[in-house]
Amino acid sequence: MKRTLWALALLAGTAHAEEPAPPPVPTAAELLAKVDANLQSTSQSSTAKMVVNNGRRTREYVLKIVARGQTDSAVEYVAPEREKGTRMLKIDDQMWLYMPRAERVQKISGHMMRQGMMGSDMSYEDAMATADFDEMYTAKVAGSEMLEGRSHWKVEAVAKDKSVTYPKRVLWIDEVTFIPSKQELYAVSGMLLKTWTMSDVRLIDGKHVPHQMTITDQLKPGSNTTFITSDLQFDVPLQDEVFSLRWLERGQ
Amino acid sequence: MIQRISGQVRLALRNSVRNVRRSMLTAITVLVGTSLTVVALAFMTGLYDQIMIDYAENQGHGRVVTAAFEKREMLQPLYENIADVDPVLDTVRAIPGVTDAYPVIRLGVSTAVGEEIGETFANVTGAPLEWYESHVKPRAIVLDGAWLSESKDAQVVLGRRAANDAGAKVGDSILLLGATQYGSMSPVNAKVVGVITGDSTLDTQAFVTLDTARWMADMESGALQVMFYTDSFEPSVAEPVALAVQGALGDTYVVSSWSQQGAWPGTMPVINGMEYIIAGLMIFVMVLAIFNTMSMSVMERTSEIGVMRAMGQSRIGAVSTFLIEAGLIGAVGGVLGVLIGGLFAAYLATQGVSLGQDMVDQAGEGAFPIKSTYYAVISVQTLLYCLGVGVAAAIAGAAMPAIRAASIRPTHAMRARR
Repeated sequence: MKRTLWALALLAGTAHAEEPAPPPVPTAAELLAKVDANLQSTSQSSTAKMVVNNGRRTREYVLKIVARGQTDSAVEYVAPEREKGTRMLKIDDQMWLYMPRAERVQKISGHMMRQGMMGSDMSYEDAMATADFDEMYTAKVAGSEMLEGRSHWKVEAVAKDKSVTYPKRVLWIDEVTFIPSKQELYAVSGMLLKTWTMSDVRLIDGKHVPHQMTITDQLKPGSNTTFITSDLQFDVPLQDEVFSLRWLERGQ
Repeated sequence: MIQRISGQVRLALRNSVRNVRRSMLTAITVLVGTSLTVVALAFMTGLYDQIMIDYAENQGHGRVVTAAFEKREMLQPLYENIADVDPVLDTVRAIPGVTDAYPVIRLGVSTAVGEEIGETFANVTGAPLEWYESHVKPRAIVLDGAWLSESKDAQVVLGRRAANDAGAKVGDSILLLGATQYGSMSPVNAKVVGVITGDSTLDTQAFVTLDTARWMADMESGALQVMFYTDSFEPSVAEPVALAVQGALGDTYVVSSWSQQGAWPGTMPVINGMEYIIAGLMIFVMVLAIFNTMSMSVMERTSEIGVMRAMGQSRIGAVSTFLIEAGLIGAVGGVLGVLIGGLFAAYLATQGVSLGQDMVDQAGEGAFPIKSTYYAVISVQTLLYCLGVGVAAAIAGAAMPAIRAASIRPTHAMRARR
């Protein structure tokens, strides 16, 4: 009996000794830099289906999106029929809207920046934000947690600047893909404003890219908005014309 | 009995002219108190009536919404609308006591005349032209331009403040950017055909046709609510009709009179109690003053009261003499007070009292429509009520001194005389 116990103890000791050493804990700055590297590109184009569920009804929109660097993007709604031809243009920190029904180009400002785009959980301000976490936040790694069966680094980030839309974020960054699978976005008061999840991660041109994002505005009970990305291409040639007010009015 | 009473009245009359200065002082107290009560009540009646009338005209004497809308009204859930409004309108119009009914859509929009949007807002009301004709035009002043008309191009009439905020004037093209019932953007480029003013509610609104509002909200043949009107805005008329409409429509809808909506259920008792509060305050002040003068009168007449009591006047008789005297002086002061107060109230009924435009702007989109000028409303009922208040105050003020007079022992009084 004693021999058996010794044997088990030895086996256990051996097994422990042969376990791979846990990966070293990366710094938060390293993690955010890797997240940024995944989410940033010099240029990209995609088609997205935006599914807005307000808790009672669901409505789908189809958008064509092109982006140049971190600051410029252009969006055109191609469906449904009522919204077809509506275009949005973001250049640096300014955003314009073209509404074919009104035949007007309007610069979005003030309170409207906080309103949901097309009634979605994503505000114009969210759309304006650049995916440059490392630049915007001071962060610390708060540990490692399992999420959906995968290991994630939990990172708590506090905005460096008051102008950042969400003063505090908690990110769960996948330890393998370095995609923030889940984010909680907080107000200064500490109130949870939104949760943002990213899934369906695919490897494209060496980048891990989420193809599905779900945003839940915690202030709108029962609502959520899901973006499903398709036809995603990086480093596509884009004409300067696309990022102009003329394009906004005339389209392609 | 009659002889005794007439004797006491004669005695009271004689007493009241014995010290004219004191009687005058009592009468003037009643006069001032009564006239102030007349003016205060007439103005308060005018103010409250006008606020209630304006609210009821703007919101309808009653309204029908879906039960789901009523539950989440604070969130302005456009998707909880009456999808097919015509059958509901037919049912409502068939109810006895309903004089007319209209489909209405209300939604918040961002407004822009220039190239930026997001800083200015307005409440859009979309309703049939007949509603504007009957229920908005009579209480609005057109500052510039004209009213909505049949047109295939989108038109808008802006309230004064909505126009100022957006920097819009007649002839401008203004963007009204709202949301459909599904939450997507609904821009309308409308021509400003008129700018109006009236009260704080009208001032912050943008009025469009029902068709324009239906396009904005993406409600093909629906409406957010049905507003109906009854013979009178009075809750005693509107509430039973609302109950009848509720009975006809069933539980899918919630029907309420204007007085049952918003802050009104809590406000109505305050309004109803206000006249009692005003009257109570006036009575209190008058009673104090009259108590003083009547107490002096009792002190002066202590020996005389003793003689009367010795001659067989009962305690009740002594009390009655003083009360009748106070009542007579109060009646004279009350009648004069009602006349003077009535004249002043009549002046306020024609000239009004200006609260200033700032008050209207501060009221903004508050619960109640506020005007810059309010007019007093005089009624025979108010005048009689105030006369009663004056006489009652005089009698109440004299009660304590009268009881004191009645408790004087004849022997003490006679001794005091010596």
